[in-house]
Amino acid sequence: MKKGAVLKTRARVREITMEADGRARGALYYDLKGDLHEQLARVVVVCANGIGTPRLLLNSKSKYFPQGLANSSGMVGKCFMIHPFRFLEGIFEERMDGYHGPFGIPAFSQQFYETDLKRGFVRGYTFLLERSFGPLHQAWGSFVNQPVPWGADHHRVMRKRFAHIVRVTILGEDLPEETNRVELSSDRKDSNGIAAPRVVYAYSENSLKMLDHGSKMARKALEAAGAVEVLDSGIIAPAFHLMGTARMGSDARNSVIDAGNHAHDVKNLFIADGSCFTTSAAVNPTSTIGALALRTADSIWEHRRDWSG
Amino acid sequence: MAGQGIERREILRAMALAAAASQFPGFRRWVFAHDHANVAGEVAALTTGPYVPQFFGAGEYAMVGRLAELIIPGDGSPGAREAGVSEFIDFMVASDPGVQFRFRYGLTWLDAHAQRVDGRPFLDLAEDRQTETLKRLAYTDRFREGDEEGREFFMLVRRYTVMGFYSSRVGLEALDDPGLKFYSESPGCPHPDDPEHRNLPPAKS
Repeated sequence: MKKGAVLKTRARVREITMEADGRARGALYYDLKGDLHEQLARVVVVCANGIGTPRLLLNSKSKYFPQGLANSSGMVGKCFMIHPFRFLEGIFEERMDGYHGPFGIPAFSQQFYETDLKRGFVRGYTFLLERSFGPLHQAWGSFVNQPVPWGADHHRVMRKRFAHIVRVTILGEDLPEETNRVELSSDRKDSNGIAAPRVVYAYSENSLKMLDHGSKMARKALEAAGAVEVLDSGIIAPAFHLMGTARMGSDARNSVIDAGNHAHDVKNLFIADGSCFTTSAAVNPTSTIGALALRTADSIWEHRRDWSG
Repeated sequence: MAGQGIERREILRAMALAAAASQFPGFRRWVFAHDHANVAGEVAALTTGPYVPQFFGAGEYAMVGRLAELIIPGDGSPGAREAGVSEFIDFMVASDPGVQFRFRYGLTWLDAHAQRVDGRPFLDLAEDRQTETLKRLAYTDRFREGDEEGREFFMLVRRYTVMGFYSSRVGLEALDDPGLKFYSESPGCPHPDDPEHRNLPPAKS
């Protein structure tokens, strides 16, 4: 900001516009009142996350890119990944006091991270050993979505669980599969009339086997540690991490951006968010997204001949 | 990280509303557990007169109180009645036009349902009949088709009861939750012998 950057908040981008020479011209956006503006730019960086980025690119159709901006490969929106999750909470007789202090992951294990075909699936998962939250979160069911019962049993069960829980979160690596995808809705629009994204995602057989293995191992670990009862979230699909929908690659025929996060198809367009991941890896993605963003900044500078002319 | 789920965001939203409630001077019993504005722990908000409902009529308010009591009864340890959860729910509903219809409609539905099944208004039923009525709304294996509106209402009032109880001073005291304690300065780590201290800068004296 000190260098003169201007941050425009409450601006909803409708599309990236194009110049006649095939370069990105800028962005059309609505302000809070619904008035349309165009922001011109020498270089455009899209980082609207693994759903927002493909939505914007697919909404930016032009005669140069009838399938959506930077989408000559057809891979924009494909290979959506969210990290399969499963939560197990062990209830211990002794107090764990896990709700003291800030949320965090005091320990993790990658014993089952790498491929071992004897397990019946490829890739693997990380165990995150986590603390519990406060009373309200506990009473409402915590991560395993099993609320403390109402009525006569309420206080007994609440006393048994609250402050006595250790959670093992299974964070799995889902594979890039073209059937898991973000596309544009044919009938839904947002309040500015921009086509909404439509997300299609299903756990593959591989992911389901991985989560099943993870839940067995987590249960074993919690019981070995002395848990008197283990609560299991079962199969759920919480999409915290949005990845893979504008994948990086060296071949413009099957990827959207190059190793510098530079769009293969558009000289002055960069994509710097989780959508650039080619595989999901079984770890939280934020640090990698941050590191890639810094690297993208270097890449923008290295490519300055492409966009400063 | 698992902590970024919908549940957490929803809880933060609810707690923000509850924090607003903590400033409300009309409460007679319900007291917000974390009165950060009041470090000494003194609660200025309480009044001595009876609570005057802001949204519910007298009959509705009595039903809300009874429902909260059935959801979190006292069992030696105080329950929703002792914590004044009905005051909290009334305040929250009065402050949020988005849920007012659902509460009013739900209470009406429940009374009509009790009349249909047991021939009496809900509050006139014996406790076991009241509990039985709620169980049929609460549990999937007991649920009867056609009672969807009642089930939705039960889930709503249960949610508000739990929110009111576990953001109240009474509810947290029952758990000995240290969130009730306020320090004007850090008391320091209670485990000075922990090997982790080797990695920390020396304590200021």
